[in-house]
Amino acid sequence: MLIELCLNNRNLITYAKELGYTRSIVEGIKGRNSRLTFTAKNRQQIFENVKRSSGFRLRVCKPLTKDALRYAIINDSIDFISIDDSNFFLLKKSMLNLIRQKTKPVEISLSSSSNVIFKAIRFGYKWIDNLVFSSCAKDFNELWPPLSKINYLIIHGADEEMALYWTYVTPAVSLNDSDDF
Amino acid sequence: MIQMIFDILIFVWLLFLTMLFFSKKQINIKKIYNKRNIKAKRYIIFYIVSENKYFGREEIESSIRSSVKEFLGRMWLDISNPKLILYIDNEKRGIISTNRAGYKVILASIPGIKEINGKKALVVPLRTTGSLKKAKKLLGIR
Repeated sequence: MLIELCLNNRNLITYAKELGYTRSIVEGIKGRNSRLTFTAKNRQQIFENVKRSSGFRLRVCKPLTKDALRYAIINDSIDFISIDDSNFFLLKKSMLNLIRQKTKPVEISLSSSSNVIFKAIRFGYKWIDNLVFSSCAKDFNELWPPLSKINYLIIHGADEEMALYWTYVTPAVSLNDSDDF
Repeated sequence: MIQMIFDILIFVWLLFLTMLFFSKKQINIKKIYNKRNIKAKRYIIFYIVSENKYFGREEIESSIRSSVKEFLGRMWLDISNPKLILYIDNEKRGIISTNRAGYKVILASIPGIKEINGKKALVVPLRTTGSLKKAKKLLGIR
């Protein structure tokens, strides 16, 4: 089962199906295949956003500070932690150990720089059990075909097995883990 | 006298065995060839998702080449050397030829193509084959 975990436009579902994705999670619209992404600088913001996120399938937090990241990892109501260029510097050894301890899924945007993806792949081998790479497309030409996604990860230093695992298995596993809708 | 003949025979026999041992040892040193022939051809079958109906072959090839160059530089562009060898306008499907060393590079850099000739487009790789005959068969061409 091939799942695209981040689409920023509802009209892209048909395009995603055409590319081979069996299921797509869309940002912002409440429903079975919906997600809410919010940025947070402190615990209070996470708490407020979690309160208003009822009806969404996935609650994704993009922490901007160390404190927010720590709270997002510990908080069970947050399903994913979103990482990109702006907050990658937060992933230090202590935080990575906490992610491993809590088996928190981490989502990396494919639009991030190669440095982020290269290091995320390295972290994926040791610390992050459920690592997901998603396209977060706003338009159809920003979507990533599965074959390209796998080869993009291989070029950045991943094994073929792990690239397949992160593309095919981890999104489904992460969704089942947070099956409380 | 007989003892001496025996000694000589044994000496010759041992000499023969020693020669055989060394000669066998020399034969056993084999050159290790790279079994993966990186020059072997690879064909990538793709289709284009776009609102625009027709694209020129040169436009598609230049956008693929510029995408590879942008992603991994001129060196990998020269190694992979992608060429559009077949394109069906009606179905928006085609075949890119490359080699075994560079097909992964092309597959990885294809999503970098956001526009073809100023119009939004998405190039989707479908499958990679080792022969043009198989690629054409998959496209439904004889």
